[in-house]
Amino acid sequence: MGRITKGSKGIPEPADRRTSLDRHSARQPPRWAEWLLSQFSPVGLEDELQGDLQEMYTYWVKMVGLRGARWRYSLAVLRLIRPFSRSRTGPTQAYSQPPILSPTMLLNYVKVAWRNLLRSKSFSSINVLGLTLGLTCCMLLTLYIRSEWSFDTHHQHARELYLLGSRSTVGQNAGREHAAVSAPYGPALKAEYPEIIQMARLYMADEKSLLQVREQGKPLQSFYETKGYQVDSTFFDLFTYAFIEGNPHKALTDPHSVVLSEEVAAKLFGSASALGRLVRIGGDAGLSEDFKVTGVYRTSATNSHIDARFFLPIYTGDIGHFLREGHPDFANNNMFLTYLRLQPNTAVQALAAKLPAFIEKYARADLKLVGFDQQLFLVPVPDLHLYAHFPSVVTPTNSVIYLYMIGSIALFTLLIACINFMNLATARSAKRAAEVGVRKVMGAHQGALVWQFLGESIVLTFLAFLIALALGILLLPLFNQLTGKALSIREFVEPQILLIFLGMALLTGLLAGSYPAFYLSLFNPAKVLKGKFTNSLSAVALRKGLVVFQFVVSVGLVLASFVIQKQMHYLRDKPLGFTQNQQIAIPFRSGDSRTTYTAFRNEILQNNQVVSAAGTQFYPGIANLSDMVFHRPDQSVEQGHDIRTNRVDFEYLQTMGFRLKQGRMFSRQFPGDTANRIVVNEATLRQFQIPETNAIGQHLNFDWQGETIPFEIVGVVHDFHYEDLHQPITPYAFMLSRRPSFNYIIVHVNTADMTNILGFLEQKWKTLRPDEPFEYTFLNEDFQKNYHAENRTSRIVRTFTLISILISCLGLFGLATFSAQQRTKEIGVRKVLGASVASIVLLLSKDFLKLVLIAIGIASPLAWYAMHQWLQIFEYRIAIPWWVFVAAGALALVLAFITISLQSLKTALTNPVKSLRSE
Amino acid sequence: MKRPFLGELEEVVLLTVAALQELAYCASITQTIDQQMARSISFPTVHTTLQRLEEKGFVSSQMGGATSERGGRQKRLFTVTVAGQRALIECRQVRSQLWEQIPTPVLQLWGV
Repeated sequence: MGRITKGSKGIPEPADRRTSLDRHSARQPPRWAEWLLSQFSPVGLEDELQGDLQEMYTYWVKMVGLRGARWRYSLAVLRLIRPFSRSRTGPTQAYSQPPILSPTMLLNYVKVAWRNLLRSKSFSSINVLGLTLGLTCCMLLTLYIRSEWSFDTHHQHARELYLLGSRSTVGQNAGREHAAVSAPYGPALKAEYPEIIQMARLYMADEKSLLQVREQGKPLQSFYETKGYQVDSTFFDLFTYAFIEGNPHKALTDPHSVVLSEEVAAKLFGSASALGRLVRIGGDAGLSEDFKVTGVYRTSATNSHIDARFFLPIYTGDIGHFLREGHPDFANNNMFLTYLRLQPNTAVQALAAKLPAFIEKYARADLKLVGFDQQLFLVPVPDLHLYAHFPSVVTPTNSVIYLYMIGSIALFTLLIACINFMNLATARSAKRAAEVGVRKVMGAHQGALVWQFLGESIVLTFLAFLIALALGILLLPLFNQLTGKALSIREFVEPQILLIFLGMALLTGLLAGSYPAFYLSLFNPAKVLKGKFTNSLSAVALRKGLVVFQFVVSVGLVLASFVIQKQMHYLRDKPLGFTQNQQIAIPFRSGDSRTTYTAFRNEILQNNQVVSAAGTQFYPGIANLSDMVFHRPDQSVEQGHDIRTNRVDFEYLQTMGFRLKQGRMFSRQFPGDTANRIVVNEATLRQFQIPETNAIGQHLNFDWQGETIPFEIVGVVHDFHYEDLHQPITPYAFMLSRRPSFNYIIVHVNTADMTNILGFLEQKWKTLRPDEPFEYTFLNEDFQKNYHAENRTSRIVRTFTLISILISCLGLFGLATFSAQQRTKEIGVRKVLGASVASIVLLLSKDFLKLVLIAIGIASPLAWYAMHQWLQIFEYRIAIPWWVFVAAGALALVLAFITISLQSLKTALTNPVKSLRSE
Repeated sequence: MKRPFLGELEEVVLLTVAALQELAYCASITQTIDQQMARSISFPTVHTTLQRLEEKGFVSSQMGGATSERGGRQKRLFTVTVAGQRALIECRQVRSQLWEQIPTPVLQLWGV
């Protein structure tokens, strides 16, 4: 007797999970239904029902098949569980059919609801409009959040994928985290640890590549394509791409193969099959060689941080050559994103704990040569977009904090719309009081009335929902522009998402309707039918409280967007310590191009619009990757500190417009200016406790392979931001390069016609490097790229703040209208007795403005605290000025006043003859 | 008070209980009806009908007979009470009376 315990039918874990799942489901009814039945069976019948249904299930499987059986089982469970099972109250049942099931009553409800909607068109439209706006916001932001959240979750092995990150440290310096490591890490890790099933590296060679198709009998076709990445042939063993043509696991084994996205394939070859056809690819990756198409994959709606448009093998182009012949070591060329796929159920912590030992075994020797230490860590691939602290991994990342922020804005907007509904419904309850009284006298239960009013609000919400759906689809392109996403209508009407939206609408309806429904249904019929109706004090207080809440949210949002915007302005406009504008950075992407540096520089200096030009390894706004540990001559090596270093040409400091504080800049006039003289920033002096006055001529020593190399300080420049303003300024030193081998040339121009000068630069480049594409960036734009997530969030917050204020004002307008209507007579009498229009407007506005003032009082400290917390992520930030509170408060007051005045002015101007004549 | 009335569905279920004798429990009754009648009555309906019959006093029930095919859980076995028997017999009598009132030629015309 008794039940078999759950444990005894435990399923052994066979190797292949899918087949075991199928077998399980054939034998077992749906789990959720079983669970429901076990939890919610009518009291005393648990055992027999479970047993009976199990027997029935076996029978149904035989009779109608698996799907039918599961379906019938679920239906039966839903009908049998509490509270749907037949109540056991006996034969009186026949008379107490719930009104919700009686068609006549339902029809009456619908009719009364419809008449009410029509009777007060303005209030209904305020409600519908508010709810529509709220729902639209919520829908769009839900799509946005869902899309941001779904990054890289679609890969078949998503849970086993990790990115190898590194933290390079020198001395006691905390170091920086990098998403990329050097080439040998991936293969060596895979060989060392059996937990790692597979690894793949990704390298981004060119920002833009030239793709050409020349086929017989057709004109040559050329396209520029972005987002072509070089990957190991194992890449598709890690990441899931839906191949339309070709075999993902063999696609990239040949160095001269290419895998195209559907879109690129269509662009190059039209609708015909692309497989086996040839594409000539330019740039560092392709070197203008022919590549055979070995695969085409579907560009899916799912998000991945790897937004590739085509893939090339890593063993091709410049980087292929480097990997084969360049003897890559563990310390230099940290430019390969290395992904690992682990065995299922690997303890990641345990693997991570082994990584220091790996460094010791493989990388120590190489690291010693360059003088820094490196730690490795693993980041789950699905976390890269929202949780990792890299500003970008292939694509710019976002922060989960911003998603929470946006999510709460969406919720608040909807909540404000709900409050509008509640307030208008309860304020106007007098209109429905008689109806409630009559219904109660006729024998309606409170429950029936509650359902009636809830039903009304749900119907109204659904009306709003339908409009919102249309509006959302209409606004999608605008929204995409705002967020920089590419959401499609297809995502909008996905069944799953529609279901979520529908649930959202239903919840909104319930929430908005709940309070009015209970409030209205509690009326005492004897009182209301006598005509003695007063809004209860507590209801009025609650209504006021809700208005205050609405404005707290609105004012808070306004404050937040003010502060965010001010900080963004600050980020954009803060003097960085050098000249940002009119600076063009041109990269040298190949060794050959580097050798043409001097020639190129001489050529472009001929143009009188080019003020100066100089080569450098790094420039502010991009990662400054090199650093060295220096120590004062009177101190030991262990007391040294890390200094970021940058090897530059003589004129670099002048070109960038750094401001000199002490000494001098590098100059060709001083033959003694060699690689062993440095110009440092103020932070360096502070760090090494060197007084500013005797900084010049002071030496800093650098130990390298047991040898001490002294560097002489010849100049000190004012502190400048070489990184974005999230980061503090740390010691920095410029040194001259022994031979001109620079990654970039910075060209400072003085022109109003940027196009012209860019054309000139490109032409000069083409004469020297005819087969290499000319690229450039603007220095100020490079700096702004670091604020991508902030800029986007700021735009979204701003827009939706506006909408939430609009909805709040709508509600206020409704309430003002209502109170003006109520006091028509009073105002008529006042006017007859000689009150001025101004005094009446003030009378009508006073109550509401008081509420708004209270809201400002509550919102200000809350917003201050929240924004203060947010600002902590920036090392350089604004102090929240007092006037933003005044401005936000004034804005709210003015908006509220205008809203109320629209109505109160109208009432105040009405001729008292009209308002008083009816009595 | 009016004597509890036996509905058509209740009659079918009650008859099946009588037919199955000591094997009558909800699942077996549903399956029998499903197989022998051209119409399918859902399990929850049979379950509710049985409860109603029990409330009206036409059947009585007791727990028993756990088998492995039902996961070792007990079943509720139903038996027809005296009142139930009477109700069934009465039902049948009413029907036969009505049948007998149909003139024989008409019945012959129907081919019965």
